[in-house]
Amino acid sequence: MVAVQFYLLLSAAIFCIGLFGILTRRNVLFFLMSVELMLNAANINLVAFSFQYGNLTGQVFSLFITALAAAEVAVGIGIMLVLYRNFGDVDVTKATTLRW
Amino acid sequence: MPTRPHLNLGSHLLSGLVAVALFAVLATVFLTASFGAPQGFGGAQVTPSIGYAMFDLSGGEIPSDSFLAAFEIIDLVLLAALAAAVMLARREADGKLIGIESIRTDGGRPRDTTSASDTDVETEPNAAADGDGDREGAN
Amino acid sequence: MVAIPYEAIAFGLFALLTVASSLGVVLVEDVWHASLLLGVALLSVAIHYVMLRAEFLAAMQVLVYVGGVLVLITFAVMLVRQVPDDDSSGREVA
Repeated sequence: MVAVQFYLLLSAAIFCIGLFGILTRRNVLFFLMSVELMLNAANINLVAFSFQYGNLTGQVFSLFITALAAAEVAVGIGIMLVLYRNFGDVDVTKATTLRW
Repeated sequence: MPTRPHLNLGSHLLSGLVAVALFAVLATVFLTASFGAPQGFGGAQVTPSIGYAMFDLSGGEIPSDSFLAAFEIIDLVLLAALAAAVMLARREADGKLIGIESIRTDGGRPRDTTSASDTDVETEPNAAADGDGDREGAN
Repeated sequence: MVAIPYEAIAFGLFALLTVASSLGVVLVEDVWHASLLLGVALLSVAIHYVMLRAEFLAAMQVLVYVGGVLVLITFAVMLVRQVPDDDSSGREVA
């Protein structure tokens, strides 16, 4: 039986990788994938503590997070298509119309 | 032709340092905290208990909170997401893009009239300026 | 006879796979390779769920993430991908 610390370490590692991806990439698709990685890290955390304490709240919450992540990707891809349509690129640093 | 993956190893020193520092802080906290032995679920059935917990029914073998209100709220959020995605991505029947004419997703800059998707817009600039009021008449 | 800790070995291997493919997602140059590596990462997370006795959640992970989210991302990659100029394969630029 693997101790819960190792699952926490795994989830922290995935979360930091996703954070690194968001900080370094400029493509919207990499943004979406990094957000997926971070949400998966949160899910691993919730499921690990659900197993640790013998309580199902973490698993049900993780299901909700999964559903919301799917919806988030759908809306994110809609936004990305509009970005590509209007700016001809999926580079987030080019959409500067609302900036001063 | 398939290509082998190439790594993008530019200079991302600050971002890498931020990520590694966050991981170091988290790892320190996790490894110094003390957790008991994992309790697990014993021989209880997990999947039916998830169903009982999600719809606020009694009968689950594993203790949990009840999630009926959260389920309904997330239902509404998913419906809003569906409507938003459709509104962002749909086209009219004549092939014009909704977002450019009615929502001004380009931030109001002068429109690139040479794009291939809306070639008939420049023949009727008033219809584009008035927004969705004239879309029914344009058909 | 020493009991071999199969579960710890499996956890180590799949944690390595998860972290490596996640690093691949953020480090790889081409967005199509990144989406494939994201699929590997999501599937290995599903294996972690199975080891944590969340079998239903593992099934939902495979169905919703790999079957839904990853297909959506693949769709978007195919729509907006720009093949770099130095690609001398001679195919049409998408």
